Parts: sequence; structure tokens; C-alpha cells
Amino acid sequence: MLDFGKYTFEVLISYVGTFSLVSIVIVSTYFDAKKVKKDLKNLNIDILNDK
Amino acid sequence: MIKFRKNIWEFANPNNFLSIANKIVPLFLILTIITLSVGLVWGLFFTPEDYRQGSSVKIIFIHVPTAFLAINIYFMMFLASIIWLIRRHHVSLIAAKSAALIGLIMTLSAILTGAIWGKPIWGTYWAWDPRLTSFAILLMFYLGYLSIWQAMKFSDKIGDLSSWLCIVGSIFALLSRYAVFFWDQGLHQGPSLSLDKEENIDNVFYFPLIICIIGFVLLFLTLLLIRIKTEIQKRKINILLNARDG
Amino acid sequence: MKLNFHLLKYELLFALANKGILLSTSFFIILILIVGIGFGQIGESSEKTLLAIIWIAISLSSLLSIKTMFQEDFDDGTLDLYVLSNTSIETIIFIKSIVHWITTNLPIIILIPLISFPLGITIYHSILICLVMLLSTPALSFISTIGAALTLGEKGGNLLISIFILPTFLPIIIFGMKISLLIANSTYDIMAHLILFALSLICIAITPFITSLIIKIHYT
Repeated sequence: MLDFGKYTFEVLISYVGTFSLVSIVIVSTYFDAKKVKKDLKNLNIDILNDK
Repeated sequence: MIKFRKNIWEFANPNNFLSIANKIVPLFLILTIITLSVGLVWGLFFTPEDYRQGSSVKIIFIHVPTAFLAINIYFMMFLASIIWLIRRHHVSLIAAKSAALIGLIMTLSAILTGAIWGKPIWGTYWAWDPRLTSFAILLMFYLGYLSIWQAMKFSDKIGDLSSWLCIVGSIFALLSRYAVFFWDQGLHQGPSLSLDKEENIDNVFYFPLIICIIGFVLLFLTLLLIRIKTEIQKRKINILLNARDG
Repeated sequence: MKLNFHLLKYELLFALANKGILLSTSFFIILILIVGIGFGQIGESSEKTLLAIIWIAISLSSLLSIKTMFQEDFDDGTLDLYVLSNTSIETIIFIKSIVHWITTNLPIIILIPLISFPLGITIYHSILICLVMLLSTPALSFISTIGAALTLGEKGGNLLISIFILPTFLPIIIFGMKISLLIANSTYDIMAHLILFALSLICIAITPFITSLIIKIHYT
């Protein structure tokens, strides 16, 4: 199925390379957002407790 | 629903921005997935081979969108920095900061796919061709902009400094680009897309390419919105911590 | 005007007393020799590589003492007085850049014929290259003030300055190297010379204003 004639390797490696590069941003964005959301929640709870 | 607003600057209020971003992000996410998968699958499996370049022409469907984004993200950072310096809207500064990493990755993938494509067609991974050199220059300015945020802690002062760095960087990136093009027109083919139809590539490649570009732009916008949201929340945490600890 | 002249004299004397000239010239000579020896080991010692080495060495050495340009004045409060006083900071930045150019780049440019002659560039060509450098390197000093202003008060400033400023030297380096290559090939392109000098003059005209805006950020 993944056969593009003479340049199969080049085509596949460029797609895979780009996706791995882009996934660095996606993963870091996702985990950053998750962590900050959790921190904000904890902080709000802390502040409520202090009151 | 999003209610009608008087002017665009009201989005500069972080709270307005957050409420709208929360509604838009899921929509953008779905659109990104649809357009990218349609464009890339169309490009990979349903396009013929080029008579000269063979199947290696399929690399165009990621090479052109990433190169397009790499240049335009820097331009967006330039505009956002100017808006921050003139109108002092924090969302604008945060947008410039959040876009930089995505721009760097896009530049890297444009260079990577270009190198892989260049080997079978030109016989070399890298040549000091003007277009390739201008991407190397762009990469350096992205690294400079990112390193100012890495080296210093977030504050309005660093925001000003980084905005000036971005503006100076764009001026000199443009100057270097024309300095390179002054001497040599290079072996890279001309622009694949332009508004006047004559120069354009064949329709068979044109439509999937347009869909891919839209897909990548949507991907960038989605990531950017999420990153801006995260950054605003980070600043909120800082403010809350400062308020609590005095 | 009189005040500016005094400032120029003071800055020059201060730079000379700090032995800036000795440091920059020895850095330049060591850099040229190290890179030359390195290229010699792989059998690559043509006139072309020597030209490239000279341009890269001169752009690296113009970053040498840039960090101290505003830092000392910033630390002891002189810069505060400059910002508060009637004299425009632009003038002070202009004077400081001129002094920086006189103490770091000018001695190097005078040295170039002496170094390049034994290494294989003819005297006539090296003097022409010196003239090109004389007209284009002031821009390097002026541009690097932007880096000095950006990293005011930072501890790891020297590394940051090279990251920010070296890419901005590119237009000057590209044109300078191409023109040197043309000179080495005994051909002349008047257009390229004019563009190089125009670039240099634009940098000299604009950078003091940008730098002063950046310095003012530290005082708001």
C-alpha cells in the first residue's frame, strides 16, 4: 500500500520526520496546558482554604 | 454565542480572549483533523507522479505548507510585537511568544523535507542556494528570539526587549535575504503558488496542496490558541501567588 | 557640542587606558592563525578561505568588548545621569560606538595588510580590501550596540549578545565577502560597493535611535 515507486523512502521519511517534529510541539503544548490547568485548580483550592 | 463586539481590540482583554478561545478551539481542532487528513491522503495516494520528478513530488504537500508557515509566523510575530509596543496588549505579546516555537519547528521541517527532496532531484542535501540560505537565516532569528525568553524571566520589560529583538531581527532577516538574492538566483524552482494563475503548478497538485496549506494553518492556529491560553493561565498563577505571599 | 567632544575624549582615553586595543588585536591575530593552521592541516589555504577567515574574525572581534560599553555606566549610575540630562542618549550612543570602532576595529584593519601579505594576498588587493572594510565595519560596531542594550544587567550577557547580534551582521558579511572575492579576482562591481556602503550608512543612521529606545526600557 505504501509504495510510491522509486522515491518511496524519501516520501515516507519526510512525512514521518515532519510529523515527529510537529508532534514535539503538540505534545509539549498538551502537557503544558494540562499541568497549568492542574496548578491553577490547586492554587484556587489553597486560596479558598486560606480564607 | 459570541456576541457582536464594537472593535477588534476588545479581544485584547485576556478574559474576553479566553472565553472566545474556549469556544473556538474544539471547532478548530476538528477542522484541522479533517482538512489535514483529507489533504495529505489526497496528496499521498490520489495524485499522479510528476513526469520529471517521479513520486518525490509528493513531498510538496508538506514542504510548501511548512515553508509558508515558517515565513508567515515570523511576520505574525513581527506584527504582534509592534502591536504590543504601541498599544500594550498583553495577549499580543503572549501570542508572539507562543508562536515562536511553532515557527521554529515549521522552519526545521521545511528544511528537513527540502533536504530529503533535494537529494534525488539536485543530487545534494544542502546547497548554499539563496532560498535555502534565507531559511538558514530565518532559523537563526527564531533561535535568537527563543533564547531571549529562555534566558530571562517573564516580565513586561523582557516583553519590550523581545519585541525590539523581533523587529530588529525582521529588518535584518529581510536585508540578508535580499543581500543573498542580489548575487545569485539559485537552483531552487520559483514560487509554487502565486495569485496570477500562469506560474502555478498543475491543477492535479494544486487543489490538494491548497487543502494541505489550509490544514497546516488551522493546525498552527489551534496550537497557538492553546499555547496562549496556557500562557495567560501561567501569568494568572504568578499573580495569584504574588498576591497570596505578599 | 563642546560637551560631546569632551565625552569623546574621555571615552577614548578610558578605552585606551583599559588596553582594549591590545586585547582586540591579539584576539584577531590568534583567531586568524588558529583558523589558518586548521585549514592548513586539511590542505585548504587558498586566497578565498583567507578572505572568509578575515571577515569572520573581524565580525567576531567587534563583539569583544561590547558588553562593557553600557554595563559599567549602568552599574555605577552614569547612564542614569545621561538619561536624565539634557544631552540626547542618541549622541552618547553614537560617540560610544565611534570609540568602540576606533579601539577595536581600526587597529585590526591596519593590521590586515601586515597579516595577509605573508599568508598569500597581494599588497594591492589587501589594501583595497582594507578600504572596503574601513567603510563597512563601522556598521558592525553600531549594530552590536543593540545587543549591548538588550542584555543590560544580564549576567550571561556575552553569550546572548553573540546569539542576537551575529545573525544581524549577515548583510554586511555577505556583501563584504563577495566584494573581497571580486577584488581577489581583479574585477570590480561598483553597484555592489555602493550597496555595501549604503547598508553601512543606514545602520549608522538608524541604530543609535533603536538602541536609545531599548535603553529607555530599562528606566521605565
